[in-house]
Amino acid sequence: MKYFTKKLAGLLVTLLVVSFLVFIAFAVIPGDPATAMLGTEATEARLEALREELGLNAPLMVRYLRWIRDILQGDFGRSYRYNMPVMSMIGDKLPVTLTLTAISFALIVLISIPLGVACARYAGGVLDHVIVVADQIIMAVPPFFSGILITLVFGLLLHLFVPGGYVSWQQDWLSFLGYMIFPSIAVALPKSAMAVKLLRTAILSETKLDYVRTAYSRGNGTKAVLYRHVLRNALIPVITFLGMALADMVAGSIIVEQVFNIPGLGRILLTSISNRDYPVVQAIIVCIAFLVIVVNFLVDLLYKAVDPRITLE
Amino acid sequence: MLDVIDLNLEFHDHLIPETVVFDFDLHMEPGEIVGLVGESGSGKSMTALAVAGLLSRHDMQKRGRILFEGVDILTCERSRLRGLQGDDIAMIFQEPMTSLNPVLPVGWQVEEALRIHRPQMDREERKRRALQMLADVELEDAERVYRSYPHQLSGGMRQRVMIAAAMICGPRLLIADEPTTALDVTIQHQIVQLLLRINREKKTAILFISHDLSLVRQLCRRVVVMQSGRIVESGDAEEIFSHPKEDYTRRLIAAIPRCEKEKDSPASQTADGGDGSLLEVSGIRIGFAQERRFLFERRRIRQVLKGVSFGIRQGEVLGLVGESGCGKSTLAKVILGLEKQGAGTVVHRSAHPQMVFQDPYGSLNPSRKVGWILEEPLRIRGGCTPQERRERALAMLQKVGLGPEIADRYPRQLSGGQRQRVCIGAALMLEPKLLIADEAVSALDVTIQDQILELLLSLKEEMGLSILFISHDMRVVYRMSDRVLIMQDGQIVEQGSVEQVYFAPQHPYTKRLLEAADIRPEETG
Repeated sequence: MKYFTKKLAGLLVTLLVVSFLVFIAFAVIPGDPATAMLGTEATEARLEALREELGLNAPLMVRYLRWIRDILQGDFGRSYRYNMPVMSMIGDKLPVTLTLTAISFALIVLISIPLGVACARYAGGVLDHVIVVADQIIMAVPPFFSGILITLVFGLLLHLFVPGGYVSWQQDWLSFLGYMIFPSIAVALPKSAMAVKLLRTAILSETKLDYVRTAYSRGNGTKAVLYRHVLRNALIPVITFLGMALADMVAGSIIVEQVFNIPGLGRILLTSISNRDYPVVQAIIVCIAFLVIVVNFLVDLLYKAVDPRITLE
Repeated sequence: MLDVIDLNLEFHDHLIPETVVFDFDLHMEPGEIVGLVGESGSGKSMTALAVAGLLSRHDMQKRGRILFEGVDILTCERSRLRGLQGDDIAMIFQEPMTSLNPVLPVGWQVEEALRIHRPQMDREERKRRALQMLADVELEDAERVYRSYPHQLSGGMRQRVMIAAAMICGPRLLIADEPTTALDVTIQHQIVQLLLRINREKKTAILFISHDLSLVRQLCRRVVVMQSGRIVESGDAEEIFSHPKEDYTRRLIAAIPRCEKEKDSPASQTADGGDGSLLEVSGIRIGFAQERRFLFERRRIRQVLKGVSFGIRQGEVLGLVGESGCGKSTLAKVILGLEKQGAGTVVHRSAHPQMVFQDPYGSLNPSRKVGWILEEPLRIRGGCTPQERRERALAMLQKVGLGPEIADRYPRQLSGGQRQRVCIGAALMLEPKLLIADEAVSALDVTIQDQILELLLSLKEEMGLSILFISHDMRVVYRMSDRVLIMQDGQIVEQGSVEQVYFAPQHPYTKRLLEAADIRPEETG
């Protein structure tokens, strides 16, 4: 219980620091939101009036504190560009990105654990060689390129989905999932390749340890030793990796969303940056930071569940 | 019950096949304890693994027969073998920490053999038996141990857990591969007593593999001595110890440091050499802060050294005996000035005390050649040309009994004994007056141990060294030292000349250590 309060305090501090850095960053970047909103033709008086209205003339710290106060009340401000609440802009994009990440993560786990175990079990065999070589190739391909390949193969050649034909989940959640599976594959492939390699190595080095010999001496067969004894130990480094990969995927969805034309957080982040729509950008970055921190916290808990030697104090 | 006939084990992972066990024969009766003795590389562990059916390497050729109650372990089906393993044949190993699965609770691991061999047994019955077994191996609070994980137990407790897990199905043969080597002497003694009791009460036959002859002597009535894969001698234990027939056995027995009252270099010989005192240590206290359990709790201090005072005289070997965790290594660090906190004073009369560590491989940089390692102290001090440095390194190699060609080898190309010689050489390069040897021979085979001790003693004479000899081994300390300090729990509980401490021990702890080391009256009388 004490661990939770401690961790929660740490989480809040981290979020404050991140939000402050984000705020400062956008305050010092050259460029004026008022000009961006009204265009370069606008008169100085109108610009000044707008700045006053947006509160841009107040000192930096005051603006920051105001912003934080509003966030605590659930208000992320209004978009400069679309003049609508940021909350309602992000609100229906966030689930899209989260779904993408969740499907990708599930794919990574479903692909990498069985393949990693199979590789290690038949190490040196044909299957192992094939997977290891395929692994190397997939690892070298960046997600945006595999995204293009997937669009080509599954979309244009096999017609399993319509490229660019995104269906929102409010319309038809089944088609939504059917569409999302392909970008998820693009995200999951390189990470799964890394996880397979990691798990294979971990299992092989675990099997050399003394406790494995003890397990055999009690009359266990190869399978029982592998699944009951080795796998749990070998998963420890893989969990570390999966935690990092998950955080990376939340933050790195931008490119794949672009390739597959998905209206998620990544897309809106990109357009908001080019529009200097700072309230939106700030809100999204704080959101992503929050998700990453929560994911790390969950990984810590999972760690503890798998490895009793780790104390969370 | 067990018949091993003409066992040959051969590795095929190199171009030339390497035979590790030649024509091994062994017959064991039910309920018998047989000791299998040999130094590292003698093939004793390979033989043990073969008997347990645990040699499944594909690059190994196995010939001969291992008959356990008529079943040939080498050729029977896997399922048949698995039926024997853990049920009729059980095994315990040297390192109880690594031999237990770190992520599974102790109770689960103790029950595992039941789960495999008595699948019809229900959960409650399994747990009841496991708890009973844990109590049976003299673990207090079996319920707590049952729920613990291996890292939460001490070394001795872990080995007891290993024994409990091995004995749970009531095997007829227990193979014990160096089960006490990684443990402290007093714990060693307890484990040996436990094995004897199990043998007596449950009539379990024990094949006891060890490099420690004095231990084998306590436990076994019959002994098989192995050297480089062959049986050198076998027969009645007392017979072999009192009248060894083979040269190798004689050498092994001679290498056990004896405790006889005929030391030729009494302390008085060196004590009168002038004012003498080389090092004065007084009132050393050190505590380390423990982890906080609550956020605002004051850090609690665990006292490691509780006021330690002693002195070392010129040309003397001072033995320091204690079990793991008693603070002896911390004391060595304090003397070297590596541990700055804490109270007390250390007064050196000599510059540069040097240290030799237990693990000769771990303490040598694996990516450097021996010559470079030996020259390093000179290079750091400066004031030597490369030519001179090289010459002095070669001279030192000769001094520690190694050839000049060793200078161009890497540590991994040397044997354990050679490595320890290099470590000693590196420590002596700056010609210190005081050498601290922290368990310097503990990781070595007895005959090698003997040679290194001999080397240290002759270097001591030659260079006028004083040595602080830290060890857990009562016998080795007896052989080396003029005076002895017995340390327990951060305090020196007894000190005096070797004769006083060994033949008229005052403190109960000293007596316990002597008993555990099996230093017998006939040796001391």
